[in-house]
Amino acid sequence: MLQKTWTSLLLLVLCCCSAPGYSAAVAEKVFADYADALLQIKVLEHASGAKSAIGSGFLLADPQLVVTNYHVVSEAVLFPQKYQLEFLAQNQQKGKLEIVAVDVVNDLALLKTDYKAAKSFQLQQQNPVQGAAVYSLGNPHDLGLIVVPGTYNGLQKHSFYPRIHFTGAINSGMSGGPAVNEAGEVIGVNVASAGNDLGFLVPAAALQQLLSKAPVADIKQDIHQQLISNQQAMFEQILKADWQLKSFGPATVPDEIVPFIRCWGTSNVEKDKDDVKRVNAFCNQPEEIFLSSEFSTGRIEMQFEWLQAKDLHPLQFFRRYQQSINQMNADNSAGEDDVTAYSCQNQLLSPVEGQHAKAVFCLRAYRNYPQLFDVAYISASLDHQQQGVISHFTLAGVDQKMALQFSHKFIGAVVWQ
Amino acid sequence: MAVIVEVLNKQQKVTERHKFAQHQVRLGRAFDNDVILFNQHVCPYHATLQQDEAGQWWLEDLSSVNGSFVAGRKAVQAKEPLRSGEVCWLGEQALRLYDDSHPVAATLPFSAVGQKLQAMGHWAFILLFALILAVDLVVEIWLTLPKQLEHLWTVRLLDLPRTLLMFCIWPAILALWSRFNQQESHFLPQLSLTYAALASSAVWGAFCYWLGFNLDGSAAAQVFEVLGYILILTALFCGNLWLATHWSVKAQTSVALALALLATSGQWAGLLTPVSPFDRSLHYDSRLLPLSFYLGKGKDMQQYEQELQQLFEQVEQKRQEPDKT
Repeated sequence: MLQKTWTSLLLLVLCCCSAPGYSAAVAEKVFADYADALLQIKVLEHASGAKSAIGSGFLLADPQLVVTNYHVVSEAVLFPQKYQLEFLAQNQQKGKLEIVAVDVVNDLALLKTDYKAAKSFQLQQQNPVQGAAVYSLGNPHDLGLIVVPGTYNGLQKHSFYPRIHFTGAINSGMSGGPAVNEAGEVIGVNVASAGNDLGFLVPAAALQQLLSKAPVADIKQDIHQQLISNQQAMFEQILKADWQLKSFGPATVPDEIVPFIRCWGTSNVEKDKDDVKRVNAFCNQPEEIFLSSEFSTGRIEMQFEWLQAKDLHPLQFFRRYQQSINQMNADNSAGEDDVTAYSCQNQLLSPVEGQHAKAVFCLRAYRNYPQLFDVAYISASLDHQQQGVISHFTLAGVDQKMALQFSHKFIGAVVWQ
Repeated sequence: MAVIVEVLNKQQKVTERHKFAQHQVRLGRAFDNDVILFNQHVCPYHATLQQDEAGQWWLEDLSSVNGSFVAGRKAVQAKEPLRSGEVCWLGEQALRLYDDSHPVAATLPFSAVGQKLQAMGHWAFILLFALILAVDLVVEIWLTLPKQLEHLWTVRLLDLPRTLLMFCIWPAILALWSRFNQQESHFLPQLSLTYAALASSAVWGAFCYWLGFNLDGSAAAQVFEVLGYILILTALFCGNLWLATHWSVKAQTSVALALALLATSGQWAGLLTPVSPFDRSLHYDSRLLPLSFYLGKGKDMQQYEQELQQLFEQVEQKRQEPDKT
């Protein structure tokens, strides 16, 4: 009897050990099979020969191209006269790389090479099932190539861009490395980490799309075209949507108007001492398109504030009210060569009969991507002596038509009841 | 014929005036001289002034240690002639000699402006301007101080005596300068003028706040505001100089304008500086007042969108401007 118990206990322990043991064995096999096809990608400055960026990449079997993230090689794309690309294979073989095509929206880059590996990667044709084991390969922090086991958790919800949700520890240096299934087929490309075992992969389908695209002569012009079509697709969806409005104090404001715009709210209602009650709501599409280390675009943000005074003279209230609108800022970063300075237009606006608001509309143009602008708008209602509603939005990388249509719909949605 | 001897200080201002009927005047530090001098480089019996039969005055040096000099710093060997109105030196002590028939400048009439400026020195005016400043400060505190910080009222109110005291410095400097030039100090009129300028600036600022809100923060309103401040300060400095100097009106106005431009340089330099081609921050007018303060009607959506289209065109033009770098 005692012996039986011991045996079953031993079996239980063995069972527990075998799961991670099995996973580790597969990881080891995948790594051993494909080690040759995993590359470290370096961006080198011509003049000094110094490393300016480092990331991971992998060799595809058909066509024979190296895949990595656009953000790893962006400097070499934008300043080809200043930077060059080099790879370092597991067997210490080195060589030059050339840019073939990029997809800034999905953060992918295809590079040409004459390097050959014993076994190169294939793309997986259909999506894995939820919970399937996934192995992310890469080169974190220049420490050599490693493998990180994790799980496939489907596509990220509430995201405009398709991203695979991967539970596993992707580090910054693993960017551009492949994530594969147990058979070693690529299901996605490592792209970002949200910390704490939360990672994101660009799905293989996006890579497949880039591979099947016709080659382009001018990559920078192609980036411009990608930005234009991406904002068009995003704003068409936003403008076509039937906007959900929520009541916000005495007014209505737009809520989560499309699935990829999420909202939050706060207020200071508990603080009785404040002479102005403030309620805030905040919505955004937080995903950015990386263009260079200084320049990102693609975000959308909306913010609302409802202020209500407790026994203040209108002049006193308006002085406090004013302080809430004087700190508007751009929410994407841009460098001196990327954008013009902001130009602002101030106006007392009467969008509907009997309703008035002070509106400020600020605009800056992208220097290298004509037709694209960053927009910042803020308005404060003026019809009431003791309360006001501030509505604010910023759009990054949008064309004139989309910006004006969005503004029109936004201003029309903020209405006092 | 009498002679007048003026003792001058280093700035050639008259400190003493003596009139003698005799033909010889003795000069030196000794107490038995006709003109007793203080300067330590002057000898006890330094020099004499003598009139000859022709009525000509001569300066005779009495072998002094540091010498005597006439116009053009010419050293007196034995004696040198002196004409009415000329300056001579005993060592470094300057003296001036006049015949009693020497012409004097025309009488300076009281000016209407000068009298009005002096009348501003009445305490009632000073009190009035100080009161306007007090009201301005109280309104500012009332507008901005949050309820939970109400105990800071008294501390904030202390700004008033501090401001009033601080702006006593400028009229005090002017008064000292006038005294130095042997003119009346006019401290109270100068103080009153200074407070008047401060009070007008406060009123002008409040008016321009309202104007800027009504003109939707247009650049013209900003220029107008700065011009107003320049005008107020020019008027102040003109008044100051009128009271403190006897310069010509042209000289006073140009110096006052120069001072006013200097004092407002920060503001107009900001307006004149070309906009930088790259600036991360947004510059816009955030002034808010209740709707009843707005005289216009506001634009409707259609007009607004047309203006936004123009803004897009402007920014597109800016983008196409050749990069200066």
